[in-house]
Amino acid sequence: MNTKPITPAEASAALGDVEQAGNRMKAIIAARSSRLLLLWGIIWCVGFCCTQFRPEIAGRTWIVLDVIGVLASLALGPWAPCSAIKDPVSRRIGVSWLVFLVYGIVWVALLDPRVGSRVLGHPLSYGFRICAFCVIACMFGYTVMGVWLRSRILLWTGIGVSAATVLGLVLLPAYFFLLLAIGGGGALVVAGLIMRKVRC
Amino acid sequence: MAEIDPIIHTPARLRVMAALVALPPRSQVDFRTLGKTLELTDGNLGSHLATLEEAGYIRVEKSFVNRKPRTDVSLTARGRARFEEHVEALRAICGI
Repeated sequence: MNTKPITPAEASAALGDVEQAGNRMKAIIAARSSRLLLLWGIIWCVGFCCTQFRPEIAGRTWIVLDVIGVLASLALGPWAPCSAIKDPVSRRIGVSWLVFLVYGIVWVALLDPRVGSRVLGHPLSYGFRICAFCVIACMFGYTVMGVWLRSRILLWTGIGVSAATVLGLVLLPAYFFLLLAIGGGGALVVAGLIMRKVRC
Repeated sequence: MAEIDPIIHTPARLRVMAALVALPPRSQVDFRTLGKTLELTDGNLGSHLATLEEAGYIRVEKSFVNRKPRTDVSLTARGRARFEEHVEALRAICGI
């Protein structure tokens, strides 16, 4: 063990080393996200150039590009099993992006009047679509909160009410608002009572 | 008053601890990445990690990812506290 007293010059040099090593590690952490920015930057360039110059194939091109982007993000992102740094926050960010992707697809389907016509054979009214969108947007918040707070109750309330809203819209449009009142409102009340009991 | 920790004060170990403290809480870094970041050879890094692990300042976990061996290093709460105390002592010497 070193018992020699440390001089201010040695202490200052040691503090410089501490700062340098910390900065290097922070640069490694930042570099992990840079790959995703590069990937999605290229995808956007290709996708929007296609939309600008070949609009007739833009829809299919975006689907292919998005599938490639999602798969590459899963493999290259900081949440990948082979990532140099493993941290719980990255995993939750990754799951939150996946949740956003799934909800994004549902939102687009709800807001695009053509989807209702193709799936159900008749267009869904504007009021139904906007109402379902608002409910599912709120449930996206519950689902993401469930991921970040590690609360299964919030997570499953978000997923369950979202799924019930879509199913109700498609299968029981005549009782849609009643379903939201009982199924949606009821689910929130039950979740609140359970959380009050288990205090999670 | 904060004291200098002789285990941490060795230059290489000080850099290892500083790099681990820069990670988000409860994070792990791959052995190779840590060595590359700090420009330490595998042997050198391995021996310093063994000393820090013995002191309870870091945790070393071995696993397999895609059938390849992987060693992850993380900081313990004790290690973080001792490092912060050590840095405070260095600042006191410098008069900061």
